[in-house]
Amino acid sequence: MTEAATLEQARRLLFDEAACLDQRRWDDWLALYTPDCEFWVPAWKDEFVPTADPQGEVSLVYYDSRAGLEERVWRIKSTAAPAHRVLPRTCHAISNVRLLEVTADGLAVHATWRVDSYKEKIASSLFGFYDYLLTSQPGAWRIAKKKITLLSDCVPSYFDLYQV
Amino acid sequence: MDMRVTETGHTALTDPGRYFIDEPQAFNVHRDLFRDQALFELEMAHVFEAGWVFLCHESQLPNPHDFYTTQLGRTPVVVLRGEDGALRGFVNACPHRGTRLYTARHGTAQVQMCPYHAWCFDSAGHCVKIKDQSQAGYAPGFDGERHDLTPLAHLTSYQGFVFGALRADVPALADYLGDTRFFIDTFAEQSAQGMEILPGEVTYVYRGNWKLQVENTMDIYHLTTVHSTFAKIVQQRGEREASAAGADKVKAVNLGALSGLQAGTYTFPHGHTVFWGSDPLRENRALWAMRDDLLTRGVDAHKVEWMFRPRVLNFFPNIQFVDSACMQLRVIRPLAVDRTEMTMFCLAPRGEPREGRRRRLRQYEDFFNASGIATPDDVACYEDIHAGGLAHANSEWIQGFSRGMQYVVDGPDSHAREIGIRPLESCSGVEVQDETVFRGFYREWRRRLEAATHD
Repeated sequence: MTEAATLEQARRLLFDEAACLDQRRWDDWLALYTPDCEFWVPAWKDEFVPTADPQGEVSLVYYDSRAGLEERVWRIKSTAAPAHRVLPRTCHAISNVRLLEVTADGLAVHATWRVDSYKEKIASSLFGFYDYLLTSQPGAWRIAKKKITLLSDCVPSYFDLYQV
Repeated sequence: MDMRVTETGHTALTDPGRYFIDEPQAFNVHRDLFRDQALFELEMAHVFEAGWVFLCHESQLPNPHDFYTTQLGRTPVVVLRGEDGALRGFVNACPHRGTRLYTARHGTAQVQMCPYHAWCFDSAGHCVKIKDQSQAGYAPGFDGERHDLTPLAHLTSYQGFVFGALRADVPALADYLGDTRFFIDTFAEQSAQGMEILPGEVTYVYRGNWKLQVENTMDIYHLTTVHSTFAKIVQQRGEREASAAGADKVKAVNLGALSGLQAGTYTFPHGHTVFWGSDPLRENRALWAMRDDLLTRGVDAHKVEWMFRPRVLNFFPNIQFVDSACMQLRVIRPLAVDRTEMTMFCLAPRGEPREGRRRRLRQYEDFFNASGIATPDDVACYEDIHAGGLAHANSEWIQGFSRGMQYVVDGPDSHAREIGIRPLESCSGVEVQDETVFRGFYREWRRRLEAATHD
């Protein structure tokens, strides 16, 4: 496969994931992740340096399997959480998608993102970088790792995984 | 409608007592406390800028020349560790024209130069250079003037927690903290090497008054409603583990297991309040692995016992220590009457085993983060309170301060006497979810404002 074709497959997966979140297709979103995936949103140590060791430093979110993502989806669907009584409209914009490395483990992909959220007539946005490790599964690429570097880390009120 | 408040209008606070009904059968707080812009300015001046305020923890600036910036009310403040290792606190502004000097959150600087006219200051706050001073035409008196940074009136640590005050006429910090020091010790003495704030701070800003956060942390009544999904998720993890489908690696506090257990609240002088509960699953705490070490090291057995009880400490006015599953420090910074910035830190005993540290972090992120599965629900409720009840009143007085009134006793209860502390009021029993504990905070708030208006 040419590098351009591989990059196009990666881009398609990233855009599919964004569409699942923006369209609230939560089960389709979960299906994009491998059961043993890592999902990580580091916190920041200071203005310039995000935390690097999720076992010794604080993260905003850290899961070492899909179970954590499944809990989030269960929580959203339950409609019992005050934070989810009114889900915001969200709009993921992903750009600057780059294929960093093709290895036996899969594709290392970097991208920039911005998510605008709109709820109760108030718009807010978060933005940052994505670092993915995509792995080839029979029939499709899946997400084995996703690291979300949240650059705008003074959070307006609160956020959940569909807003980053 | 009670007219005690509306008579005064919103322009001047001539009698802060008008905002409270504090009688034997009733304690009520007026909604203006949460929505009046003029009151907010008075709070900044007389609550935050007139008394002790938490600034930072010593572990955040461990080495000579380290600095840490924060706020004391409306005043930007910098804490400096000098070459001699001592901590000093200053107004974070150049004396020349008032430019903010230290703009990074924290860092190291042997000498800090003002970006505007290059006056330089060392890590003890001394002005060490005035650019182009010779031939400047200063009057002779200029050399005799003081050009150093303006020091805070007080900067004192207790167990590594650094407090500062802008005004000189505050009580000694030990007196201010009083018997709550027992509870700070139950945080700080978990390791012989003291405690540390773990790297990674999380900040969020909510649309609501800062006192909503003060109340919420002492409010046990909300847990089973607001955090019902959190409780259910913890239960599901336990069920998954029991069916061998997957280990529960977080071991979060199980709200469902708390029913029928002893709990209580204490009110202390100066507005500090404490909640404590029982934990039937104490072996799930990260600290459990260090328990033998605690006992062999000779830590008071009562303190060790209390280290394994869920505890929430609310220090007037702006800090909250929480130890439910893991330890958290919350710092409240009011930005406006309807906007509040929260900064959160994960506290840990130094030298904790790696597995305990890992579990502590997962517990912390699970519950406390603005991106977790519990705190967002609290914040959503603050914003709903703000939108529903406070901006446009349906009645002048809030009804939320009566629960548990029949159970309150003056002075210490048996649990307090056992450890030798003397709270002003105690409330304890099975499944205590009282609201009376908020009163200590409001009585101190009122006392501060009354002292100011009588100046």
